Amino acid sequence: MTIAEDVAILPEGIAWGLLIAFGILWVILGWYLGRKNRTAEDHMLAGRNVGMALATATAMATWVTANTTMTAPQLALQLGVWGMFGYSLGALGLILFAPMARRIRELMPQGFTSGDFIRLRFGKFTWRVFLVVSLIYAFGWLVSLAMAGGVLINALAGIDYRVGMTVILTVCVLYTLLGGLRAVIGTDFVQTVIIVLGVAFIAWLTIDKVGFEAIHFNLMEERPELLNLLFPAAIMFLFNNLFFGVGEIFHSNVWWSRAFAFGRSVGFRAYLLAGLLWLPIPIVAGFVALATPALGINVPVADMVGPLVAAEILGLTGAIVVFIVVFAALASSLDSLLAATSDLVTRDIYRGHIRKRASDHEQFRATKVVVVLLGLVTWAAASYRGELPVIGSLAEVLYFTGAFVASAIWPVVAGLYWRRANPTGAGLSMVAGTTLGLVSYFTIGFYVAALVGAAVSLAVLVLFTWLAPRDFDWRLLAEAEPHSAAPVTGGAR
Amino acid sequence: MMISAEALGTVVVVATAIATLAPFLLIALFIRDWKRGSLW
Amino acid sequence: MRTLMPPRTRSWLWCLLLLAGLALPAQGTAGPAFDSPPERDAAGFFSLDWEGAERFELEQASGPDHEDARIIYRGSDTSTTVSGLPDGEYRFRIREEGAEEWADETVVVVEHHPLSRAFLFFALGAALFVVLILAIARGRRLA
Repeated sequence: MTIAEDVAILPEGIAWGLLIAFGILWVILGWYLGRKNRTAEDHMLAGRNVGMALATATAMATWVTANTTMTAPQLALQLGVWGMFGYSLGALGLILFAPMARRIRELMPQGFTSGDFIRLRFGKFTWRVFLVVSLIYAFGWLVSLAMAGGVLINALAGIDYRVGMTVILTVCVLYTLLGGLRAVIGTDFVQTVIIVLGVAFIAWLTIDKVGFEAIHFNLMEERPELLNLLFPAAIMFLFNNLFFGVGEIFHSNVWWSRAFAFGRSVGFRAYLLAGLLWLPIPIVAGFVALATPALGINVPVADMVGPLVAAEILGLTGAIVVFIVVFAALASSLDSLLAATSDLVTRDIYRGHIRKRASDHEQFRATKVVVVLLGLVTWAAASYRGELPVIGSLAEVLYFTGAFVASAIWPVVAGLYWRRANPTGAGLSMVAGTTLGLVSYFTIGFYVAALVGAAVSLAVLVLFTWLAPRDFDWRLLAEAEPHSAAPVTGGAR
Repeated sequence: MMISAEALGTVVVVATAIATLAPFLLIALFIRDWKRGSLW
Repeated sequence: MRTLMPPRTRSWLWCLLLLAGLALPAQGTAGPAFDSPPERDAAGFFSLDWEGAERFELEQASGPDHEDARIIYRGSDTSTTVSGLPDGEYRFRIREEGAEEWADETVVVVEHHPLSRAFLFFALGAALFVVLILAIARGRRLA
């Protein structure tokens, strides 16, 4: 599929200029920030003392992805006002994670990954189920981000899909490799500022040039259901989206590694503030799609509606702003995901399953090798786009993984707060939740998969724990170095 | 039950206002952390 | 759409097409056509794809006598996203821009999920959400 010829809105030369300029900026920034990393802990967790400003910005930037800047308008176009309000409920994932981040930091002062936690809390069976769920999600998200990068660059500027995808992926792998989590967090700060200002700029101009009266009038004429507060599919979607977001954040090592990396008193406040500041963004980014009837533009593919409106209203300036915003949004999520997934693979696969006595230095080196490998595998998978059946649009790919992640919510919550939770039940709840969630994805629609997954996994976990409660000693979590010679002690309280 | 133009407008304007201020808040926090030496 | 076939193959294909055209009775097959359009939809949004000309006109109509027929797109794109439609039967027709006759038509039935089903899922979601909040709040107090 090449939509370039239809809707390219930015001259290719300018696009290349922007790609190169920002690519170099991110790589240099990443190298500069990571130049003093000496240990695996420095590289993976940025020294475990990230301050409030950087912590808030990285949580926001990572949660604003290409999926937010492109999917929020798409959902507004498809599900109307509830589509964008529903998307903004994704902020609750960040807000609810705030108290958990504090507890994670207290319980596991030496922890590295979400896999560490599940292994120590629930044992090997559940740990392996969790790793499967987590890696499918991480890999799905990585590939979909890389694909989104290629598609968007192609659509915005007509640059070949594979070339654009390769450039974005290479830049992100390079600076993650050079600077580790410090590079990821440092670039995230700059990227947050760019993304939020860019999105707000486009929104103000849309309000100014089109106006709500015209938007409302034309929607009533042509697409009235989008304004309907009782739109059935949108109502079903509301909590689904909430649980999808909660599931992504609660289980994914992207967010756990940040909980470990943020300073002792920072985690709670940073996640809370990031959630509150993120809340309006899907509305700001999404409502512009509601202006399409007023502007009389045709939307050939739903996920391109955001850029189309921006280009219609702002011309070349709009196209440039969108391009920069999209590049920043892609990079800020791709880098985080690369870093966090490579940590998970290094800790839980390499060190957990392959080389159990790996030293700190070997781990440090392994993380870097894994980032490169992940980049290559992602590249290979994203290159085959079109030759494999791809599930619909960006939003649909995104919601496919909803069943997986939503069924991991309860094992994580119960693991942190419920002393008697049954470990095997936790593993089986993920299996059952994912299975039935996927069934509902195909039988009812993408807008219910996460909800069903969450409901089923809760039922299974509660049932198992009710039948066979187990006791757990929270102090066991503090010993996050079971393989090393000297176990780390204390700090649990 | 349709949302009115006014209600839609109010929600969007409030959201956009918050989003516009957010980067400045982040920069202010950054300067504060930097002065305190608590960036990392 | 550009193809990368060698010229010889292409001319063979043309001959075949010509033969096929002669063999079949003229049936209005010339001109644009929809490409696997949806038949039903439960959320009022779907996309329509078409091909077969340089520029197109797409018409949308509903109701038994299609009184509200209007052109919803005119141009060179080969797809559109339709959304926000209430329950009903919608007829879409496509033709080359400026042509007299419509070349192809398709009917899409929009039937939204019943509100009762929507609220069932909504209630399930709300209940789960309350459980989640309580679990975290209670856990924090006990911790």
